[in-house]
Order: sequence, then structure tokens, then C-alpha cells
Amino acid sequence: MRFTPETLKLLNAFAMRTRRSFYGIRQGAHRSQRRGHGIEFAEFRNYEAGDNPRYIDWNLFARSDKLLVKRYLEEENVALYIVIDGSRSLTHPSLREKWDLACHIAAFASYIALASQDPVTISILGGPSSPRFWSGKAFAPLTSFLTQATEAVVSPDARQLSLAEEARRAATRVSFPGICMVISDFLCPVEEVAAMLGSFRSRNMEVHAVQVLGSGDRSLPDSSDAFTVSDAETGEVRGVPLDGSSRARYEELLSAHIGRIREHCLESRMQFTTATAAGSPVGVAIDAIRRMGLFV
Amino acid sequence: MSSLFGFSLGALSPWFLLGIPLGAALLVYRYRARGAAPERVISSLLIVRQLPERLTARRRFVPPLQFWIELAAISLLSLAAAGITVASAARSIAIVVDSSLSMQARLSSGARRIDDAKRLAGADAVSMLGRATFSVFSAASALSRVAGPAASPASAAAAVQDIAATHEADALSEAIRSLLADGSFDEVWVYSDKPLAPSSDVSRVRLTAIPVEAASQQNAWIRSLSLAATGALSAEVALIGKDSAALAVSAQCHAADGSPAGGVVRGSAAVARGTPHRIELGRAPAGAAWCRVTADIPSGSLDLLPADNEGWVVRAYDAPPIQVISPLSERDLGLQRISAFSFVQLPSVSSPAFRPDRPAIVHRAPLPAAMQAPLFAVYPPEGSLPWGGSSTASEPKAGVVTRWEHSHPLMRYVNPTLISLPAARVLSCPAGSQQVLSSSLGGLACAGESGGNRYLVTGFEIFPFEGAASPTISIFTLNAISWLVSGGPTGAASSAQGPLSLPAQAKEAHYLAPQGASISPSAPGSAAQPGVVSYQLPGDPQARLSAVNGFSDEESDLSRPHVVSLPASEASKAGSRGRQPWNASSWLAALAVLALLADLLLRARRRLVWGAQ
Repeated sequence: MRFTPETLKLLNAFAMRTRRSFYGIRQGAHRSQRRGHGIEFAEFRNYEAGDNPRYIDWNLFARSDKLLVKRYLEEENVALYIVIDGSRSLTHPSLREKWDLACHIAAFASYIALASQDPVTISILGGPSSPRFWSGKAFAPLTSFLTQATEAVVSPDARQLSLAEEARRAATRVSFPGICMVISDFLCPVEEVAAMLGSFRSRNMEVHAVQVLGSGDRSLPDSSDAFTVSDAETGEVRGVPLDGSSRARYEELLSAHIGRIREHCLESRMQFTTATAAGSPVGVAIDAIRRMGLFV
Repeated sequence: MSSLFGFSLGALSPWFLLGIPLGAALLVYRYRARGAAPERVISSLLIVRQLPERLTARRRFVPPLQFWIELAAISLLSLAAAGITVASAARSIAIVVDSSLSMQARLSSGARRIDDAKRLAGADAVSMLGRATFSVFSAASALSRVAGPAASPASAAAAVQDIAATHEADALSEAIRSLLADGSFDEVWVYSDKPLAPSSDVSRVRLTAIPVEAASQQNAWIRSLSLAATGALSAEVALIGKDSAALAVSAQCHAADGSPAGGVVRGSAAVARGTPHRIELGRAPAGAAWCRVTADIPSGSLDLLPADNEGWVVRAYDAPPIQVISPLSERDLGLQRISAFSFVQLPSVSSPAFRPDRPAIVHRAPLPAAMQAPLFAVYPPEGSLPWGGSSTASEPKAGVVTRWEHSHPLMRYVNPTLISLPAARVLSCPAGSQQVLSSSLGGLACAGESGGNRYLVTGFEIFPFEGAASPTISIFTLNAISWLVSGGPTGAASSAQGPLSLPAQAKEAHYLAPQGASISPSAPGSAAQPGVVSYQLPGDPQARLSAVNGFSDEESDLSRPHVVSLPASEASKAGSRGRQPWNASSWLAALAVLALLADLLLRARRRLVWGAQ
């Protein structure tokens, strides 16, 4: 996975923005829930034995005869967890365009996060999980992890996954709550999608769901004949009519499915974005990054 | 080979036909495995499951168009690789019955050889009922079709019985070669009194030799007749079978209107076996225009071939002088030494005095474009000849005679090995002419007939005529002049042999004798039956007479060993060009390519449709 300087220059313009504060791990650029010795004043607190006298507000003591200590908002980094659906609906070689798009989105989000010293962890459901990458210098190892993961998971013989269960397991490995970007096609029952996203939401993470669809998912082929489709996950085969009304019905059902997921995300205060693979994944991925609301 | 609708189908490599069932099985397996409709992996059936299911061809196996196209391509390729050949199921056979003069020879049973040949040919044809179609030919000097093509055995057997013997010499070898080369016949069945030469290739030729009784063969025949303008009548006869015999020759002469002129003129001589003998019969009666001459063995011995004992001769006309066009004078040419003919010298063929209707000798001068009389061209200028063919520039190395036509009248008493030529023009003989003399470089003398007039072209110099000083060339010159003028409408001699070609302008041609003879309507310009033919030339009130004879030593000399020679290499070559079954491989391969192209187009179209999605 290689990116041109022009692509990286485009990404340099982005910065990750969180909607809420988290406890960070190191000093960073995001407002933390931690109070301490930042620049921005947060509150006063009664002096307690052991506090450093230099933080006592002596002017206030003179006015009110109370020993109060000034507290400031800490600025820390925010951990970014990227979870990629490693089920066969993305890793099947016939559907490789979706996987490539998912990897590009993950890589671009990681680049932006690493540029502001935010740690990034990538977890592939049903596949390997990366170590935590800390700084901008870690982008190269990160892309090579994605390349190796692609070689490992893109196979027609990949095992069938229970996404909800895999998501639950992945969520248990999260040590510091932060941003969670879940990349999947979400072409499964809404309940399963809700369970998958809920696993991360329950870990007090800010969840951003990114739906990656392939060109073949968007609509059925335009043909007067029937054709046979097989489910990438289960291998089930089914004959599909390709007349105009069926195609319209398919698009209508797909829109309804996506609408239900979007509605669930809204209700659960999660961000939901859809990206459809078409042509170069770079452009589609950057567009998705721009529309997510996470990067400005 | 198997028959279908009257055709035989064959395969050069039949095991390639297994490709059809194997290919069909593989195709069915492939289409069943993938389904007739294209199968596509999609992310999930979550949405699709909510659509009404449509059964696809995978379950019912309804082969799509592409399946049939691919099956057709495989089948056509297999058929092409197998080398499918198509041929008519019935064999095509040519029956050739030798109708030359010798076939009129009697057998001890009293029947003629040709009767035996016709009986055997008819029986053979009937025995092939339903298995062959026939073409029936009569072969004498030329091959003539009697029945067919594709005559049934019964009609072929009937047609064989209509073949009549002729007085012509045969050209059976050439006839068979032409039939083999024709490519229309699987086999050629020949019925002749001549066996096949041992070295002949008999792969497609079946020759049934009519048994001849060699021990009792005896025949006397007339070789030539002459009735000079002066009335001197002579006959040259020959004999086989006995060491010697006294032959009696008699001639009954007639006036031009057919009425008998005087009594029978007789003559006799003891003739030794195998040695031609000329018998002078004395003078024909005054007023005799033509005579019928017969030669008999008076001792009563059986003459096997009576047909050649009869001849016809016409009195020579008072010949006009022969026109001579030459850059040399008559004295330089030595023509004054030739007393038998009169000559008149003209400056060129464009001279007003030149008569194209009279014989001419053109020596080293441009030839006339058209002639109505015999023409003798000596050492013609380089270029094309008026009858076709051409002559080259003078070749100093062409003067050695390597081959000659021994039986041609021009070569009578001529020993070509004695001819010494310092230089000669090599001739490309006109089509239909005979190459009388030739060297290793090509023809030296061509003799032929055009428009009923004989012509002779010699590429070497024959003048000056020196008589006994150079006897070979002198005899050749005299033969040439005699042969030429005897074939023209002003014929000076009267012993014409072979079919007579009438002048193109001849009218009212008919036979004066024998009774019942007639000129075939199919060949109005020629007369083949021996007899005397009368015809009229425009502007000439006097009817012209010509004699037709079938004199042929080849045919009459029954003791001479005749064989039909078909050189193995030539027969094989002809066989290879013979009626071969039509090989359909190339057409089948072309159709297979078309089917594959259609298949590719369908695939490309489908790919485009999917790509657009």
C-alpha cells in the first residue's frame, strides 16, 4: 500500500476532532477529562494537604481567606481504534474493491491521527490486531501491517464470522476509550449491526460507523436474463431476476436497510457514513474521511 | 466410408470424431457446474432474499445460445480434424471400347473383335447394377462419348452395342490418359485387342484384352493408292501371315457422276511377308474420276481383316503451279530440278499476283495472314506463325535432329540421322499440329492442317534443291511438296488417308461412294468413313472429289505387338488428380472459426454489460 505525496499532502490538511473529551495517555492536542496543569483554567478546589503550594491562588486567599488551588484542563491525545470487518463479504477476492476501500479509509484516518500524536490501533475482526502505533513515524509500519493483513485475510476460504461476537471480543481489548471507527458493509441484519456497534459504544467510545459498499452491492446488473448469485458469507446460491422492477425493488430495499442502520446510529449518537467503491479507492476514501465529521 | 443420401462420407483420421461426444460432455459438465446463467458472488443475500426467486438454468439446465455455439465449434473442429470427405456413393466408371480398324478383325468364331469387346463391356456394366454409373466412350483416333455421364448400367450396356468400328488408327493410350486426368472417374474399363504394357500402372485402369489368335493371323492390306492425272493407277500393298503370297488387286473406276468408266483394271504380284510392294495397275480408263480398289489373296486363305482390303482413289487434278516467294531466284532455289511440279515465283505475299487459294512455298519471307490452300513455310522469320506457335531466332546448336515422326508421310524414305543442319530456327509448333522433326531445343518441322488446308513449317533450310547431291533433304523436300498439294482442294495426288477435313468454304459435300455413306451432321466439315467425297467450292463450277481411306499399318499389321502403354509415373500422377472425394476439412475449419468468433463476441458483449454495471 503506497501513497503519493499529493495524497499525503491532502491528508495533512485534516485534523481529528472529537465530540467529547477522553482520558488520554500522553500529552496531546485534545482536551482531556483530566484536570491538571494545562493552560486553560478549569476550576478551583480546596487546598488539601500535599498539594503544591505554588498552585494556591493567593489573591483569592487575600480576598476570601480561603486556601483554594487552581486546576487547569489537561490536553492529551486520544486513542483511535479502527475496526475493520474481516468477514468474507469484504475479504472475498471477488469483492476485493470493498476491502481495498476499507484499508484506504483506515490508512488515511490513521495518518491523520498519527500526525497529531494520537495513538492508533487497527483491529481486523476475525483477523490480526495491530500494536498501538504512536507517532507519525509509525505510518509506514501501519501500512505494512495493513498489507500483511490483506494477504492474510483476503481469501475465498476465509471462515465465516459472527460479527457481533468478534466485535465484542475486540471491544474487550480496548484499554483506553477513544474514537472507534468501525468499517464494514453492514449487510447483515440491523440487530447484528446494532450489537456490533454497541460493543464499542458500551466501552464509552465515540463510535463512527463507515459503511463500505461495492459497485455490485448498489444495484443489480442491467440484463434481461436471470443470473445466479452466491452469498460470500454462506455460499448460498440463489437465482435473481434482473428485470427492471426487480432492480428497482433491490435498490429500494437496500436504501431502506441503510436507512435503518443510519437511524439506529443517530439514536445511539454514533456517526454513520457510507462510501461506495467506484474507480480509484484513494478519492473515495478521502471523500469518506471528509464526510465522516471526525476529521476537519 | 458410409453412405448417406447417395454420398459417401469418410474420415481421414476418424479417431478425432471422438472429440464431438467428449467435447459435448465437457461442455455440459461445465455449464452444469457453473449454471447456464453467470454466477456472481455478492456480499450478502440479505437484500436479494427479499426478491422473488427465479430458477436459473443451473437447476434445470436449459442450455443457452452460447452452449450451442461452443458445441458447434467443437463439433466442427473435430470434424475438420477428422478430415471428413464427401464423395458420391456410386463409383463412376468410364467404359472405353476400342473401335479402331484392328477391332474389325475376325476371330475364329466368325465374330469380330469389336463384337466380343461390346459383349464383354455390356456384361460387365450390367454386373455393376446399382453400384456404379457409367460413361461410355468409343476410342479410335479420337475419344468420342457414346453415353453418359452417369448413365445407368442398363443404358450403358445398351449404348455399348451402338459403338461401330471405324477405319481409324487408335490412340488408346492418349485416350486413357485423358480420362484419368479428367478426374471424373474412379475407374477406366478398357476393351481392346491390345494388352497393357507390363510397366503400366493399373491402379485405376482395368483393360480387358480381347483374345487374338496369333497363330492364324493373316492379313493383306492396301497401304496407299495413287491415280495420277495421267491415269497411271498403282497400289502399294502389304501382307502378314504367310511368307509370301500372290496378291490380286483390282480397280473399278467411275466417272465423276458415279457411272462406271470402263472395265475392271487388274494387277497382281507376289508379295513377301512384311515387305510393302507397289503394284502398277496400268492406266485407268479415260473419263475415270475415281476408283475403288480392292486387294485379295486369291489362294482362298482367310483374310482376318477385310476392311483394309478396300481403298478409294481420286484422279489428280491438273495442278496449278506452286507459288514460290523467296528472296532467291528460281535458279538459286534449284526448283528447275523438280520436274514433277511447276512453280511460279512471286516477289512477296502482298503481290497482286499472289493467290491465297493456291499452294505456296514461302521461303525466308513473311507469311500470308490467311490461306485457302496448302502453304509450305521454309525458315520463317522470327516471331509468331499464322496458325499459332512461333519461331525463334536462328539457333546454331539446334541443327541436330534428335526425334522424328517416323510414320508421317513426310518422312517416307528419309533417314533423319543423315540430316545435317548448320543452323535452324526452333519452332513452337501450333496447337494441333504434329512435330515431325525436332531437336533437343524444340521443333524443327511442324505439319498440320488449318481450315482444311495442310501446312508445313520447317525451321531449317531446304534450298537450294540439289537432287542427288543431297538426297536426304531432297527427298524430304519432295515429300513435303507432295504431301502439301495432295491435301488441298487442288489435290494433285489422291491417296488421302484418315479423316478428311473439307475446306471451310466447301458446300454440298456428300459421298459418291460407297452406298449409304454420309457425312455426319455432327461434324459437317470432316468425312471419316472411307469412300469418295464430292463437294463444291465457291466460284468453281466443277465438283471436287476427295478420297477418304483408313490405311494404317499400325492397325492392319496384326502381327505387330501392340500394347497400351501407361507409364507408371504418369498414371500415378493422373491418379492423384483423379476423382478425389471432396475434403470438407477446410470448410469445416472455417465454420468452426466463425463459431468461435461468435462465441468471443458473445463473451465480450457480456463482459461489457457486466463492466458497465
